[in-house]
Amino acid sequence: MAGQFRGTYVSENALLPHQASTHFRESEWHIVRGFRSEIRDFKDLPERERNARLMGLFDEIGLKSASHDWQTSTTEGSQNVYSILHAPRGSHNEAIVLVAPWTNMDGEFNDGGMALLVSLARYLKKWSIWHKNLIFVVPSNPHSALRAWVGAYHTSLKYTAGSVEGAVVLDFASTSERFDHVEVYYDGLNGQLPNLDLINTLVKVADAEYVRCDLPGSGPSYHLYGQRLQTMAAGIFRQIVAGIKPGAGCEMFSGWRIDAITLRAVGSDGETGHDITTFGRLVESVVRSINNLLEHFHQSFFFYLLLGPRFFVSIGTYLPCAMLVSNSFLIMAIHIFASKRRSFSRETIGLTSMTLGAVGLASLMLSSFFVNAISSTTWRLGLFAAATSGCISARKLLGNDTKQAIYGTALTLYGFSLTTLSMFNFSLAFGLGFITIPLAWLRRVKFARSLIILLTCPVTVLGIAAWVMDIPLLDLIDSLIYAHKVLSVWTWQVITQIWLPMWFVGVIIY
Amino acid sequence: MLAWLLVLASGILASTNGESYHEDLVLRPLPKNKLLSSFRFVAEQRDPQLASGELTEYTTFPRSLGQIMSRASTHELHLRFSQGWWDAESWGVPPANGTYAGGVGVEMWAWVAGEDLADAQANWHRLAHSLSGFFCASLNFLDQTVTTHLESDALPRSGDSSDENLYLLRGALPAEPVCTENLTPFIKLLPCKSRAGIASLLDGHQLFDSQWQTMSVDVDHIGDRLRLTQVVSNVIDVPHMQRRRRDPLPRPEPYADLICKEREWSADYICLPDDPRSANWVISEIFDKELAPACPLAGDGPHVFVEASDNWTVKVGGNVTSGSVSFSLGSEPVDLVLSSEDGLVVLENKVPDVFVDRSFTGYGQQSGGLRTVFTNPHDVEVSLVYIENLPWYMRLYLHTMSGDLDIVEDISYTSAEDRTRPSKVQLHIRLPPLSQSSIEYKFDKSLLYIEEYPPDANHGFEVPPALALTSTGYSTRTTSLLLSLAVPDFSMPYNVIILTCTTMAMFLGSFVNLIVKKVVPEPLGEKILVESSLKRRIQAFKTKLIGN
Repeated sequence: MAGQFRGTYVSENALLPHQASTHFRESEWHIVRGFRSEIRDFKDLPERERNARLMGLFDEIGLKSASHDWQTSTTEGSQNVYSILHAPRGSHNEAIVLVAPWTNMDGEFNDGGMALLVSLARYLKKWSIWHKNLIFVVPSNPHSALRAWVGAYHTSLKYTAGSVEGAVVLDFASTSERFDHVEVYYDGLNGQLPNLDLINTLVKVADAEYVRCDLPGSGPSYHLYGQRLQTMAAGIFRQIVAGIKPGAGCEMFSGWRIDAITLRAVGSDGETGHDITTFGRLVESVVRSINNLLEHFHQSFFFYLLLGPRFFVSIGTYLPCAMLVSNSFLIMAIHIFASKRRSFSRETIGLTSMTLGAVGLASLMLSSFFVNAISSTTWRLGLFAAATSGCISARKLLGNDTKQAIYGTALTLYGFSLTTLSMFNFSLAFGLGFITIPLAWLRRVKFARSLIILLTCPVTVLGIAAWVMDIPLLDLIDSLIYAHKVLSVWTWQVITQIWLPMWFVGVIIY
Repeated sequence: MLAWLLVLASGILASTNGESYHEDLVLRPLPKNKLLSSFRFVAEQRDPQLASGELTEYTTFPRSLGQIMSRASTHELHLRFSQGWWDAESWGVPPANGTYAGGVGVEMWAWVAGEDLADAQANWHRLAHSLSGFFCASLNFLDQTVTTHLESDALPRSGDSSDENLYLLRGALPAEPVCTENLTPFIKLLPCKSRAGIASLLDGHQLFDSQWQTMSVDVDHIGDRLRLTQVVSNVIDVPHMQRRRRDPLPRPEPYADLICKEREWSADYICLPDDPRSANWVISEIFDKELAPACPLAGDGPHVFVEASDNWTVKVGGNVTSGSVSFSLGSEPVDLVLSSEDGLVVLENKVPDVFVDRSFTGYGQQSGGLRTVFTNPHDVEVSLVYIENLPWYMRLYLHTMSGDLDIVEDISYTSAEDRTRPSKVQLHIRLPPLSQSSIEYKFDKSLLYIEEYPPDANHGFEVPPALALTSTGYSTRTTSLLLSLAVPDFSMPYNVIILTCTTMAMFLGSFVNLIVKKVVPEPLGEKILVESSLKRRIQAFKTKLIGN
């Protein structure tokens, strides 16, 4: 089985991936080791002291460095360190960001990444070629700390260095000095992906350095259909949970038109494999390519599904599939309106739309804005149960025609919402459409209506998702609300404003 | 020999014009192994345009520039070509209190005479176009849409004020890359070119491999005299320069050359780099040349000033001194060596009166914000004027101005007009001692006509640096900003054109056929064909004409 996909290609001519020699090798390895030993020496110091030592390292290289204290609405708070290499004679209005968090996405100590970051800062300073400033960032974690830094960069940070054109997060957490291959993470919030050219550049560079480059959650056998399917499914899943489940760090740059990827060194137990400077050379080469850009990344695709490092499905190919799912609701709605001879009153339809909107807004407000007031589990579930039982009792009160009118209106609105959503966030729209498609068939099937209602219930699905992700349901809801409030992720809004009202309608009419 | 005689002769001839020429070079080590060099050339003479009856010629002042200025009725001209970023926090105040330092790109302001503003703008247009060719810069793009008219006393004048009808016009091109093609015409203005004196060190390759660099040309009138001040300053990262001399590529150092710090885990293969603190800076290595003999026109006064702390040893030819030193150039080339045991210890820099930082806030292609932070590091109050020109496609809303508004004493604002003029914000600010205040305003991003987008539309649009002038005469500029506007998919119109044309062509053929042709049965068609053949028609015409 082949499938509808294409091979990737570098679209922007200016990138010139791996056209220049890389020199981060040989004695630079000794220096990486030196910085790594030094970082290990001060890693157990209190945060401020260790950050001061880290800033000292940047200072000795001759770079300007500063710390950034941050605090979120919760009690969480910490300190990040960043340092700026000003491009010689640069116009000082564009920058490339390199990030090495203290701990990586799995909470492991990222000393390799940090040592590479410092040695790269020292090494890259020797070049005169920079056109964009380079910013080296060491956040305390790749999640909230990095987000706080990116947010502060665009509002209140002490030193800024122009608009950020690209970002690379380095994850080299192994204790060894060697790695087998690299994994590239490319997720973004709300379906915003980095330009495909950035990934293509990295893949090409890795090729030239003889490093295998994989996508997370899959192996190297991309010639197999099953492997490609698995890679795509993993990509869709990661896109849905980006921002909700702690990610690799690159998604924290979403929202400011910054193309970001995370590079992760994998398989580093043995004495064989590539050495750590090879990883540095990958970064060096990618940074040089971004530096070559005269314009912002724009040539290649922003909407794609990757089946492998070199295979992708473009938006033109995958969008019809999401459209089919979301349009099935619309077709069902047209069927309801067309098949009924008697006309529905305009008032019912208008009232239904307004009620659905009000229900959506109310559920969003109740769930997120007053989250502190109703933080207890019983309260939330109680509200949900009350609303559901209200819907069940409404079934008996409403006449059949009215129910049909409500159903048709709800399906129309739901279909349009999903269609719009699929333009921006294919994964979420497709996933939601796929789960809720039985709701379109409620009046047609004769059996298992209760099962359909149960299976399409947001609470059930979130429960299953929580079980799959191995976290308590309430923690999942909390992170959904956190993502909505802090990272502006729409998923919670989609659940409460689109899915939940539709499901209530399902409860009323089944 | 002949050249010498000519120079001498011209000197004698011109002495009646009261001309003078002076040049000096300041070298100053900055923190973190940087070297600031600042070249200044001042030429002065009586204005030939004002002379009546007497024989007056252009001597030290270049004729080419003088003629351009008089043709454009320009009374005073200031030009800045700059690249890079001045790190005010560690480098302190730029040379001459920042008077000769420009913002990124090219900046020009001039007091232009004219009967009214339109006339002055026509003169400005003429001036910009002439200078554009003269300095090989895109100054001709300084048109109405980027030029602002400021009140005549908004910027400091080095010359005296006269009662002429002068208009102060100012414009900047932040995207202009400054390079050697701008340096060559600059050197041509010097009486000794780059053959003698301190100008011999002005070499494009060295000058432009710096961290920050600025070139300025200032022409002003003092009484009946014309004065041309040319300044070139740059900051060089010396170890970087020395390394590049050895090898232009940053190849890894040989294992034996690594200098490492002592740690308990130190080993042959683990090295925490310890960069040497000692400095040995040889001018002929940094600038690729020795200092040539003095320019004969330059006065006697010391030509070279080295400003360094006492830990620095300065070796000029055979003389060795420590700390700051000044000397004159003789008739022999001379080399200069700056060395120190600890190159990181330098003279304490003068802290600027104010730090101004400007950045964009917000995201999206629709609107944005502009946030400016003013920091007063001193324990005395500072008053300053902040002047900002924003392109017309940034629709500024002054009512959204927020932040520490109590520091603003006065606002002068000219709103932008689409495709006609930029907006101008001029704030008079009083900063309390040791304080940090910020001011923010919001703007909307306009949509441009498709032909208004530059070829590299996705690069973004450069917003010119803002200017801050304190009452003490310190001037500084913010960095330029990159504004990203909504950009159409340029391939789309192209696709649409192709598709439309193809469809049109396909439909047009059949449409024309449908309109013009008639469908008839075959025998009838053949009959018509025979009847309507050309031969028959000519026959019919003949018959009609001659009559059978």
